[in-house]
Amino acid sequence: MMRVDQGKLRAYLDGELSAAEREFVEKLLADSPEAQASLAQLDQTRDEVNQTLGLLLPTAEAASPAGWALKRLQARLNPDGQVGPALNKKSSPKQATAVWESPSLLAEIKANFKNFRYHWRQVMTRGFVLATIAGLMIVVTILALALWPDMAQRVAEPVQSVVPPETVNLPPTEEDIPTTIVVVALQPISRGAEFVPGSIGRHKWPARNLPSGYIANEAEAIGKVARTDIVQGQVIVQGMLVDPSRSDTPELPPAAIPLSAVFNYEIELIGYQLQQKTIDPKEGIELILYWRSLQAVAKDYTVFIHLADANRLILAQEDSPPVQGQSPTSRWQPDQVIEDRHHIPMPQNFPVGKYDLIVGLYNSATGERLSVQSENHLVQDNSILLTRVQMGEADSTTASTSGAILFQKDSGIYVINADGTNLTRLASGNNPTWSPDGQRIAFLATYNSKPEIYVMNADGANPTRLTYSSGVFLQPVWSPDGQRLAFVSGQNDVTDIYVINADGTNQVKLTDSSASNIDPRWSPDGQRLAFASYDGNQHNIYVMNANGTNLTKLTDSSAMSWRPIWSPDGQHIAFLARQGEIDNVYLMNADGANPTPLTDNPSSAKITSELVWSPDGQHLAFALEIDGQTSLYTVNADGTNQTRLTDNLNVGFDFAWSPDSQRLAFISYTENQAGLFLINADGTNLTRLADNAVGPFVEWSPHHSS
Amino acid sequence: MSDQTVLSDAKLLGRLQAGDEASFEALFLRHYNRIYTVLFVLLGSKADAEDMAQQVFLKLYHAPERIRIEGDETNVAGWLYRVALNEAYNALRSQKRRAAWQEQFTRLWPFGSASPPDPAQLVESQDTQARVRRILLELKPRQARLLLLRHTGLSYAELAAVLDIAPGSVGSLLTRAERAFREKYRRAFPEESE
Repeated sequence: MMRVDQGKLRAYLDGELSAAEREFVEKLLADSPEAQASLAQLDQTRDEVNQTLGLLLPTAEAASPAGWALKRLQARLNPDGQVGPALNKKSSPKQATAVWESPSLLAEIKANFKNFRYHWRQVMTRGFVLATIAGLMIVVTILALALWPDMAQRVAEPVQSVVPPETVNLPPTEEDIPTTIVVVALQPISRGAEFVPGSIGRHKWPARNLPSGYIANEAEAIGKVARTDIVQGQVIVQGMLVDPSRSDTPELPPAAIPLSAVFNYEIELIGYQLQQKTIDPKEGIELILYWRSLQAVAKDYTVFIHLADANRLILAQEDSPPVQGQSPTSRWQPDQVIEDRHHIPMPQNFPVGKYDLIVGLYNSATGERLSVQSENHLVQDNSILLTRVQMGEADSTTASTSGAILFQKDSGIYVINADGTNLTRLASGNNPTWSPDGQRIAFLATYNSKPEIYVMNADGANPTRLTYSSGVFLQPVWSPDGQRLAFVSGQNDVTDIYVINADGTNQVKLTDSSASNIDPRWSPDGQRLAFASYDGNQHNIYVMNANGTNLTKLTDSSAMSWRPIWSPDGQHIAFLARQGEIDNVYLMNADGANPTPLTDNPSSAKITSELVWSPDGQHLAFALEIDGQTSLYTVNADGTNQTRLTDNLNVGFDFAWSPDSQRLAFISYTENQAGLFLINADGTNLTRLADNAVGPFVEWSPHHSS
Repeated sequence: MSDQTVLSDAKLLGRLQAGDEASFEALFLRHYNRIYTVLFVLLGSKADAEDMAQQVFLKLYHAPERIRIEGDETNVAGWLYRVALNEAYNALRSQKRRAAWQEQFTRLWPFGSASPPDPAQLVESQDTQARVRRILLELKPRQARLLLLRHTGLSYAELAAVLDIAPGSVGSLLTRAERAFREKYRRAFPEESE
């Protein structure tokens, strides 16, 4: 009996056999019921698959007529509507904006720079007085005439498309030289007409490259960036200058806290120092203010210092000219720094508590306060909130021995003791993270609708903005010594890892790629940073020195790897890898050697969270989604004992271990069960600490509070 | 154009290589629909399939010399299919990786809707087409390509040329690929298979 060749039968079925072959198969079919059954089966399979795959064919509305498609293609090949063959014609690159390539204009701006700086002050103080700005007008005219059509067109477009992708290379400079950018106002920008169309401001930018058409969030007024509340108006970069001679900020004593508040464009408050952390009401407050004169001041101003409660009721105050009248503002020299000591006496029986310390200047002749703008401190009623002070000893009964948990709720940052006491709102913002000593909190807050990084004290006092950019910021992470923060910033799909000192100085971009770099993680010794990178094709984990050198790829590109986290001893890095469609937790040596899966998840499971290592290094926590339910799991660092801790709760993206590694805090999204929860590491004792908590971030204070 | 439509692919290609724009039009009109259909099946979006079909034909337009003329046997269609399949598979691969990355970003992004990633894109469409496409793409690439091309109308000879397999083995490869597909599909959606 002849064997049935399935392939031949199939070809027969499809009418793909030659006449001789067909005859042969038909003969076979006539003799063999087996072959007939085979054929019927093949027919059925073919139809079934054909029907199923037929679902993927374009429907009538998805049809793409070839004639139309050809027209579109031709339009693309000949954008000018040119007729005739365009074969082998290379498309010409789009004309770049001319400003940057115009050496004469740049020379012009440079030549006018010294004058320009002077005139700029005049403009800011007295308004747009034509007679005083001959030098300035040259630049204005050139820019306005040469570039107006281009600029006007950009302004009309939505913000997103205003920023073209091309970047502009500055003249070569040394690293870290302050760069001044000339900005041109295209429409009136807030506060009367201080910025009129065509007027020029300056903007400090730390990097050497900047997209042309960049919209500055702040226009630099005098010396420092003055906030201009640019909501209605836009400032567009049209030129750029490098000014290596300009010193950045004047030296302050180490104990002083720097800030920047510009009064009437004449005087800047550049720092303050409080002699005592906790104020004894009997002794009053000893405060030093550091002023800097930005230009010659005609009038004598008076300093006022208020101590106000939460309702802004003034409970104590002091008004005096600077340095008890020995250094009137009219005698200050431009750029001079004045140390100004004040003593604020307290009334008797001053109630213990937290109070706001508020500072401002006024004209003693008129009683009118000077307008103040500050980039990093809260301004209200033309005064600046310097800090929040503790009057008398803090009430110790509220302190908890089990630490405190930071989380998000109602678009605010909250802290709650782990025993459930003392729920307190600290600030508006997101992504809070404790400094390693538990004394400060870094977080994100929006400024001009862009997230920026801030640092505040653990009690919410003294929020200080660290970053300035047109990009977005994510994931601030403290260095183990609490001196620096790593963070992610970028636009769209391109993000880079940066570090910045916790006082906002020395922002450095560590990665420089067209990739998406996220998840910066400090090694426990603070020497290195691991991060995850996606270059549009591969997901890998890299490590580099904390200064960006010695970049090394740790993972094998065959899998998608992300979310690195160092073991507390710094010997290993755990990470998440998706191989095929399966998510697992992996562990590798810190040099990338010996990657080993710690979990053995089913293919339907997805890890939907951070990996969080317990402080004792014994366990990793993560969330695993199986069949629509996201549960909290732990696994030992050696891969044993994978345990599900939660039932019937959908857990969020981030968790926090208690400092003793005995408990975990997490956010639940489950309907009717949403909130901040605690659970023992063995899955017992589930407790809800707060409701209405939202994700994604949860942080447990790194040290027990005293 | 009428004389163009009766010329063989090889003749048209020869003219195109000599710089004749009209020959490109003829080749385009002749092959566009089938290339578009294959791309639509793989990508599931009219816009994406049209874009990619343009890319494929642009390659032909800019570098027609990449196809060798061998008598009258020159396989322009085969070349177009191969380019289309490679482009589509590359796009799908990076789509998948991009989706995975966007998912990471979405989870990190703490600012709700004013965010760069679009979580809606990440939710896998549950419609039947998407599920069928997923099963097709889970097959070995060679099997998936074979099924795809056969079920969009290629003959055994064309399949053999595009996929570089022996014409005599098409029947048995097809049988195996269809079984694999059916098995996967039934396993994934048992409720719909009976």
